[in-house]
Amino acid sequence: MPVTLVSLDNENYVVDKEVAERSILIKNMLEDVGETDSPIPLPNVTSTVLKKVIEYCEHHRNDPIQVPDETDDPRKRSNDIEEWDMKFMQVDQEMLFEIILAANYLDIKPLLDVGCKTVANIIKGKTPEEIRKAFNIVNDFTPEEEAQIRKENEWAEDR
Amino acid sequence: MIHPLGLPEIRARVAAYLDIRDAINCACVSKDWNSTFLEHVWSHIALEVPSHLPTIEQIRAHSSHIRTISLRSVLPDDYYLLDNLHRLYSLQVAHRHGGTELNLPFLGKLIENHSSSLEQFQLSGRMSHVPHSIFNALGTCRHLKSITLHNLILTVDDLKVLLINCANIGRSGTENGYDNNGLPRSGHGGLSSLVLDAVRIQRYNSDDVSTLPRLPNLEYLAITKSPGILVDGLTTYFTHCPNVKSFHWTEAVRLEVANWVEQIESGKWSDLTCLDFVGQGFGDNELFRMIESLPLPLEKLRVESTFFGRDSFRSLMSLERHYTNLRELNLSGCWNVTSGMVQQIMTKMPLLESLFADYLCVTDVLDASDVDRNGEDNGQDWICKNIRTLRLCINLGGEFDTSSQEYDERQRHVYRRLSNLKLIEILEVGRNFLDRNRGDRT
Repeated sequence: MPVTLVSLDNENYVVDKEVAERSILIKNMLEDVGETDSPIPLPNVTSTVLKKVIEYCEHHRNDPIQVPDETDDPRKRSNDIEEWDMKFMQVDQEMLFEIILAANYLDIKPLLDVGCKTVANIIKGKTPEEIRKAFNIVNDFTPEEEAQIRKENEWAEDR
Repeated sequence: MIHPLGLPEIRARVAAYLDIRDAINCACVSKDWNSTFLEHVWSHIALEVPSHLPTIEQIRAHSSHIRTISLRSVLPDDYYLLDNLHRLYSLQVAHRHGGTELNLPFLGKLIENHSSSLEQFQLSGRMSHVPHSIFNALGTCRHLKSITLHNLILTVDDLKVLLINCANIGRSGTENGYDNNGLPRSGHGGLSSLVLDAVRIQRYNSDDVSTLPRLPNLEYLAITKSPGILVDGLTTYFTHCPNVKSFHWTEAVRLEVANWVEQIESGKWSDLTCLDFVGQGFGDNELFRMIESLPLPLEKLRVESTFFGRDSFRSLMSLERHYTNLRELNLSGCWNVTSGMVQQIMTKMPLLESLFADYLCVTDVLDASDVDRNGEDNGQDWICKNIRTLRLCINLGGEFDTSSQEYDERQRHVYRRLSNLKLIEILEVGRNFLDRNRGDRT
């Protein structure tokens, strides 16, 4: 059964239920209302982003549902992005951020993870100043404070 | 637009993919970032190298972030007296060879101080003497789920103290959590996993433990590489722990299969659904009897390097409860497993998610009779559509010239079948027969 999704700018997208249900938010909504033909409004997602998200969900429609595993190693790897996802994520930073926000709002965990891995890969090897520049973040530390943080965590750096 | 990195939950997700050095750089970026990324830096602390220890004051300052600690050397006493790490759930202690054992009594203190949050405890090291204060401290824990002991020597007394304390876990202060039979009332916790790996028990006598209190919540039991555990009595003891679901036995002293089967048949371990046996101590007939005796469907069967063979295979394939429910099967290194058996497994086990086996000949896949005549795939379909991990060698037929059309044909058939297993995440097929695709997704 197809489902109609409506973006912030009132564009309609008809997708298979199984594709739409990659979003846990939508899945839960559909479960709550039961069988319905009425379109689902997604007031936080613009059409450009929604198109992109649907493209992702179409590609991954048959993936097994991820089981959340909170006990596993807190350090995860970011170099295991599969090829299709890697290409999918080759977008400008604004789009990357939009995708992450949409995945967060729609509760599509694998997409959110790929987005966060991509951000992590941007961060890797950069100095704090380079990171600020990369993401346009204002420094509210004094040089002394920054030096203090570095000093306090020195012991951990070499592991 | 909201900046996603302005949201703490998104930053925390990013942090999980960074190593410590990058996380510390992030902690220097801004005050908002600082709190998120320091949480990550401090969620695990390794107290390993004396020259790289955080100070006690630093640990206190970050106490609310600390989730796991690994201790790898003899630390100054102060570190064992830490308290108020109220989120600490995992403690791994490795006793470094050559160090003194002087501070180990203080380890009990560290455990007791965190008895309300600890869930996992691991102790390893070549230790010939484990202070009972450590085991007693474990007994005070309220939520401890898992104990792993590795590479230790225990006396029978040590073992008794350990088991008594294992039974105490979750009881302290809540005696009412148990009914008259000593079984927990519903919703009550207790130790669920016990691993004794390379633990040597000295002067063991099978009567010694049979009267000890049972572990009513134990679900996972592993006794591996533990010479000196005379199993007869211990099996009897553990078979009285009624909720064991998974049993792992490797290179330990020979398991008394007759006793084991007798216990199972008398209704003990009625929840057992996972068997994990490794090594040549297990004969075909013994495995056959064990598989047959299990009343519940088997979910995992790992029998690596055993003599699993015709009889055990037949019992597995004749019992519908087993072959229709099996999710994980490891037959690596089982010399008596034939290619025909592997083909049958793939055509008869609908729920299989993981299969390790040595080899599969393409003639068995394609229904041997006509395949070399017209190259059609007449074989039975593989129905294991849920399979995610597959490791085996596929033999395309050594008699064929690799440049010949028949060889191509066969290779295509095999690939077509493999491509129907859509959920595969890890595919390892033999180097000499097909290209080696490690970690490929189809």
